[in-house]
Amino acid sequence: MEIIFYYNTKQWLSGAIMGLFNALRVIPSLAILVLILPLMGTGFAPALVALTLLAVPPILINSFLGFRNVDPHIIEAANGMGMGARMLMRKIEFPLATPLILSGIKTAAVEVVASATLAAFIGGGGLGTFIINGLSLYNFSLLLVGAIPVAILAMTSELILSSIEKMTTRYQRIS
Amino acid sequence: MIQQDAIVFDRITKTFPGTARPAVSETNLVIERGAFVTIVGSSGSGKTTLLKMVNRIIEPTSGTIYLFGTDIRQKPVTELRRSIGYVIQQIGLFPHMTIEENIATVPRILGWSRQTIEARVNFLLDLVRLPASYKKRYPRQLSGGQQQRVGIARAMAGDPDVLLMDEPFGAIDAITRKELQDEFLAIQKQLVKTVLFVTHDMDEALKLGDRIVVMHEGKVLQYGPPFHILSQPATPFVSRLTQSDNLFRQLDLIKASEKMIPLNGREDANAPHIHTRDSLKKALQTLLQTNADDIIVIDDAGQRLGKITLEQLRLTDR
Repeated sequence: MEIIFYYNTKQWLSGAIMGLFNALRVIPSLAILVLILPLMGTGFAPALVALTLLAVPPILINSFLGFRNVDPHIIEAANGMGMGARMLMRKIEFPLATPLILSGIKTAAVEVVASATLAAFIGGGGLGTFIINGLSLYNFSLLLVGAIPVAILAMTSELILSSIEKMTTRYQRIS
Repeated sequence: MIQQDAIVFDRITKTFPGTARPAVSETNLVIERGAFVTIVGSSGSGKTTLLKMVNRIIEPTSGTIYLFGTDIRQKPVTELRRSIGYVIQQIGLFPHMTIEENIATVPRILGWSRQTIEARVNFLLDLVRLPASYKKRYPRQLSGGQQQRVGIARAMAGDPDVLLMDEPFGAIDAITRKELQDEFLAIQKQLVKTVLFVTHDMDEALKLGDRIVVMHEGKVLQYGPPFHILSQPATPFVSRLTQSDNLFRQLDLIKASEKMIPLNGREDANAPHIHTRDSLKKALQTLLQTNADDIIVIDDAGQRLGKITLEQLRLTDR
């Protein structure tokens, strides 16, 4: 967070944007869902909007950091070799920022899968319905029908994205 | 005539925003084609700024730089940079690319054929003395010295006429640095590149440069061959910087062949010998170590060409 703040003071625009999304991150997922309710009513669409809002901050913040963390000397070397801005982005900056971008996507994916259960509160449907019904009816087997797939979903998305991350950063570990 | 000059600085001034004193002020400098020019000075002397204006990493506030007679602003900056090799202290290899891909960067941008690029990579790896098996390795698998070898190979990949080097050996241990200096000097002589080489190490500047630019507070204090800088320092500052009163340093810059006198047949048969290429510093060392009166100077074939006595080591004729 200090790092983000440090860079924010340098460029006011990226500062404003990152500040906004950081603030967004602090709002709990349930609160976002409830805040959407008076605006869009109940159903699947508002749940989708809320979950998208939830997914954006970690991806954006991590991408921002990923690009910021590329060693400036590598950029200088690339510039010195006559790479244009687009080639620099495609061949150097994006590949080097990829690990952080991917870990942002990973965080977002797990967060969305977990929060999607709460969508049931605003009538968004999904596995959350089983959990909420199970809780209110005191029916544990019904609750588990919702809870177990959600846990499996969260874990598999984490696993898949982790392995993609490992694949793209193979050069960092080879010895 | 102008084609003989690789780089010409014409009244170059650079003032960074928010600073009162220019980093480089009103500098005129002519770098001849094929010359190895070292720029030496303390930090803040403007030496790196001067270097980075040649490939437009830094734009001068006023003045013009000519590269082989043409204003460097006449072609697109990316095109200019592809024609100039650039080596920095931090090396800046691309960590996600193999050694081969790193070296092939500029040739690929230039659109060379696959075979040409492969041949070029092999040639360069051989030139910087890295085994061909390193092609598929990643930068972090190499030591600092090896990485800078790749850095040099990468800078020369597009076969540029001019190489800009910003303290390339500054972060490398002393033993490896000496090795790299010797090898790079040989490479430069072999390929005849024009080299502009920034360093803060006076020994390095004297050893590598055919000519040396001494900078201080944005101004060129002196520009000349190493021995000239040592024997006739232009200002007391140059003298202090080069420690020109250090006789060993001067002796180190004179070759035995320049000072030897003819043999007269009365030399001791067991007299020690040194090579024509050795410096007078080595001659003095040998004299002191062996307690001999003469040192025989021999050539590559072992032929006795002349001798050096203590008399030749007195730098009286300077």
